Amino acid sequence: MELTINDSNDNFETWLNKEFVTADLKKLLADKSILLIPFENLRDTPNPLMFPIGTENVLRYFRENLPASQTIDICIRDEDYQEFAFYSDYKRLGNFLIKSVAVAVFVNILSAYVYDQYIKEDDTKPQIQIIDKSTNTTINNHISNLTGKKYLEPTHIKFSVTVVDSVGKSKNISYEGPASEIDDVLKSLKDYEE
Amino acid sequence: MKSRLYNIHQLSYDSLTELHQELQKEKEDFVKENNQEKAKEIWIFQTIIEIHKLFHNSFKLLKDKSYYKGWCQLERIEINISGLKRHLTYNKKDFFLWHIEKSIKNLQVIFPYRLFASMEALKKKKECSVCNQEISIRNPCGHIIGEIYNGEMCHRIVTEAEVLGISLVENPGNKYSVMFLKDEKTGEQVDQYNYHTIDYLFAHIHSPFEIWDLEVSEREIKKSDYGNIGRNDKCSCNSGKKFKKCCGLKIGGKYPHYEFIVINPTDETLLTNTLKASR
Repeated sequence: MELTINDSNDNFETWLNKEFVTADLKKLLADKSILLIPFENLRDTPNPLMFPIGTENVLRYFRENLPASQTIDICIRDEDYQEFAFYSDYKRLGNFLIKSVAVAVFVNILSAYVYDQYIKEDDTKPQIQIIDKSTNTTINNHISNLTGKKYLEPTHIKFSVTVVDSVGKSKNISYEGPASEIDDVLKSLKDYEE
Repeated sequence: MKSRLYNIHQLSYDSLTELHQELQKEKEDFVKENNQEKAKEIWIFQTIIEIHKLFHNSFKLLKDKSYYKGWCQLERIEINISGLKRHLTYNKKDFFLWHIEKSIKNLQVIFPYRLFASMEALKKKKECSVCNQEISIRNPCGHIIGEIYNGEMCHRIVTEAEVLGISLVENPGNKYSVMFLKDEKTGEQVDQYNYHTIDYLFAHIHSPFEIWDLEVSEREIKKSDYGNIGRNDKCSCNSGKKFKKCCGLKIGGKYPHYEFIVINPTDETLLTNTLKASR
């Protein structure tokens, strides 16, 4: 599991003042408490802004589950939206920019999303135990480690959240690791709740 | 309807095909009546039948030593099971699905593949498979990927895309793209993998639904595994390096030991096989 927490210079103002954000888009996003923001310059392409495959699903899930007091949108014009698929089995959930007042709601919904999409299915899959023949007990080592086969690992996820407080200061939390650790990871976000 | 699949593991490939076709006709009638619930129920049973057909295929292919083709069928099953689980909760006895899932997992453990090619693509435009409407990220059509509409699973059809590159990965999104070598002289693909463990297993199982299991234990690489070789001798793996700078470095490392538990073993060999990890 890899969790990094850093100070960030990004906030709603810096994103809404980016060159690609038109006046109409800026107006649309002005009062939102959660934004899905694009990856920039991930690859050398004419339109350098892109979102991970599955963004459509993430956005729908948040919209269906957010209370009326919080709103989510995506920081791109419809016509400029494009998604990248790198086809590694890391499930990229995306980059989020959230106001600190939305942290509690965000944590609950992201946790539920990861559970519904990945953990629930992982839990139903057959597991391969490694046996210690001398004691006939199970060894605490995953089959993916012993065999050197990463595709036997349970689902891994990757996401980044920038939390912006009421005076515009920001912290960025990035995670890359097993989906099953999501609740521990999201606990660290709660320190920035307002 | 469930009773029609009660003995699904005893049906031949052709009987499965016939049953699938019968269900297709029934499904079309339900769709005409807009009976979405019944159409979805039939989709579930058709998917179970497809999984069984693929499992028959994969067993035959692996028995015939068509390893990569068999692997691809197993991957297809894994994808189908993932789609099915969203709509069906089953226990270990239902439709032999647990046996299929467990067999695939066990086979993935013993298959020699580790490295895959992975395409990097940029998807610029997509359509909905249900309504053919172009997907707008802010105002989508409302059909949800993975849900069942008119007896078919909803997915997205990419209508404009750009391939950005190919990368090598150990945990691919799908596991079809196995890396093979190419013969420099003939240009033909070479299958460089060692399938000894797969052959060993398939010598002892005789039908797709014969129960078998895999037991894995951990062993340590010892100096004695290499006989009387000295530290400064040339390594026995023919690398040209000294033993201490080659395989000697692996001493103390762990490797998996596999035992197959089968119902009806042939007399060929003892039912145990150890593989030195080639990590």
